[in-house]
Amino acid sequence: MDATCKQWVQDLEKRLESFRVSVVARGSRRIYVDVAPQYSREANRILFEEFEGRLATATGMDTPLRIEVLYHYCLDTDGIVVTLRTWTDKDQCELDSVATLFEGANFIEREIHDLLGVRFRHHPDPRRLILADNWPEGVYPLRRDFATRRDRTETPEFLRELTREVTTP
Amino acid sequence: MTLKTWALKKSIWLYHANVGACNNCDIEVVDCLTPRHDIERFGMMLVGSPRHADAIVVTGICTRQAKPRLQELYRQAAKPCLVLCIGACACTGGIFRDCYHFDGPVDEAIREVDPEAIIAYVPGCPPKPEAIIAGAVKALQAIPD
Amino acid sequence: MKRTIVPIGPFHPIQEEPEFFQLTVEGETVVDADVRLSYNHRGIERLCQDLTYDQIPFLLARICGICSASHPMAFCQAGEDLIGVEVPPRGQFLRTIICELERIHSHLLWVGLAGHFIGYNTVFMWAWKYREPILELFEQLLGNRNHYENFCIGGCRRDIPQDKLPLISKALDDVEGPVEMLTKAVLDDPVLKVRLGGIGILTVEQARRYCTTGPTARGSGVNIDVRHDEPYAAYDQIDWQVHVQPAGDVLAKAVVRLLETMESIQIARACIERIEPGAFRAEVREVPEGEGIGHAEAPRGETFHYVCSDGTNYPIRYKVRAPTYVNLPSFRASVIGQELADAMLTVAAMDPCYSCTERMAVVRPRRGEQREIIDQKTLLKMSWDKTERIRRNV
Repeated sequence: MDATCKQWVQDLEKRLESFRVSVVARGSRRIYVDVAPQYSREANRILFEEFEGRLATATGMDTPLRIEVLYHYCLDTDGIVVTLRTWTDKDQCELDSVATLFEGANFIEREIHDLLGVRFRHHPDPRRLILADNWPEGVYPLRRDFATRRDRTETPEFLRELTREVTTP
Repeated sequence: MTLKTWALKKSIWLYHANVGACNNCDIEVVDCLTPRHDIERFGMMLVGSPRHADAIVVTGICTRQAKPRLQELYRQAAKPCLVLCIGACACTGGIFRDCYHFDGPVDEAIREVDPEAIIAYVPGCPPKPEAIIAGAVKALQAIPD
Repeated sequence: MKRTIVPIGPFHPIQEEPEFFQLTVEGETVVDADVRLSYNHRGIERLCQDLTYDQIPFLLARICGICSASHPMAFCQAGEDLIGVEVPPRGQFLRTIICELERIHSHLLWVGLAGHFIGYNTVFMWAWKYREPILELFEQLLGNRNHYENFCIGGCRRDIPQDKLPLISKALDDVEGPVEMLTKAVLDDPVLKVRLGGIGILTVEQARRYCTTGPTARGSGVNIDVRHDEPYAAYDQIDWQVHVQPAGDVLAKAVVRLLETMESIQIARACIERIEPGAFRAEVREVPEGEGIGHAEAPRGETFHYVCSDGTNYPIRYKVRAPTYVNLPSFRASVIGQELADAMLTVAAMDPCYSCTERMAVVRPRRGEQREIIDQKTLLKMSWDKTERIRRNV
């Protein structure tokens, strides 16, 4: 990890200390911060306002135990991407919206709502954005239990072996 | 051949609709207008309303959101009206065929409205402007006299 | 005051992608704007979960016809971040050349469309004529006018042989004259200065709050460019500069794009001079578990990709964010307070590519239940009429 990245890691650890986060650098330009959902909005505010990060996007991800939302901030002056990872459980599926802090998060959160069903509390405009008007309510295409024509929710062991053989040059 | 059919074949007016494409086919369609290919010398031009159109040039996979609008467009167009499916996506759905928002392909969407529709297919990803022009000319021959 | 709904979209003869804008106007001034996406949503992120890392670039190239090198480029960055593979120098230079050639023909396309919106149809015809040789060059070297799938994790899929590089140099020489001419035309034309100047302003503060990228941000004074901030390919091995204009109006964004096109020609030339024979692709054998993030500077702004891997050949999550997705909301900020005749230009100024994004109703409030709808042809004519009025007065 180079010196600039190390400095950012230290600054982040210091500033976000009260949220009991974990800050991990991978490579020289990528930092991952895990922050509990109750602190997510405040951590986002700190990254946007105090660290002058630019929200590139947010990734929603359905994992076996929970639904994660990763907010990716670019620190353009040093070419570093800081990812704030937070989570919510699948049943309640709610997080505080960041769109009330700055407009850039508006569309980004609406997309995660459409595709994963995460509800963002106090979002100024929680309408459907990218799914069709006649798309059924409550069906979220990026959830693991949503099947498309190529039904693949698990990768069978034999297929893993097969594709390894085929793709190795 | 009636005067109307003769006039239509001599100077076909195209309306362009993108129902879920990556935009490459659309650029190649607009490219047909530009000096290199210049379809206006064949009397073909793009119009702003489906009511003036002799042919609807469709690109894209026909997403769920776009399908009712595409069908409405076809209804509004004066008949006879050709449908030109440009690109692999419009012909069959292409590589997006397995996606959850796919509600086509375009020919099935049009045939729901009009089983007798004249549909021409110009495959490619994207088809070159020369291919699009060739496809349009071939399709003209299918219009009954 | 009356308020009317003017629909722009979903199908419009010159706006190539379907989009539904809804503008609320009072008199001739826009007071609000809304947009409905979804017409182009093709579920690419879900499809990526069913494809191998070798197959994904082919899908990603087709997110957008005009950014068809940028998305695979960002994919390669994400994959190389995940796997930790070094790309050989020749591969880096080839990537840079292809990306810059794409930037040139994309910006020329934009210049043509902007010209059409203001009624300069000759500019439209010329700009599109001058981008043809570049598309033909791509077809000759890589097999397709667009969707030149030449990027893979580790380098390039195919080499461009040394004896073919003079073809690229020639194409650059041929396009340089017209681009210079177009740049001078925009900078020196008094009518264009009045027509494009001072409209569709996005302030630097708004550009930051909306997290805009690309020429939309640089034309508003925000100095960001992924090629400079986190250099990839060969951008850190040649001298080049980022172009920023402070004004934030449509003219500033046009100037940024034209200057960038000139810069792209120089970057591509420098790469051709510096490129050495050698390997253009590093071998990749295993995909480890983990995460990767990659971003690249598309002609419209930053494309941002994230991949999460479980060690198999299929990603468990692939996230794509195209530049227009963050630039599009800023349209609301830049169009409010503008005249209706300038609405289309303001949309065009952020160079929207809805296919990247996923994929105009003007509202005048009703008197009773009466709604007035203005069609797109009328909007275009309003824009052309305004240009004509300015031309007569200047």
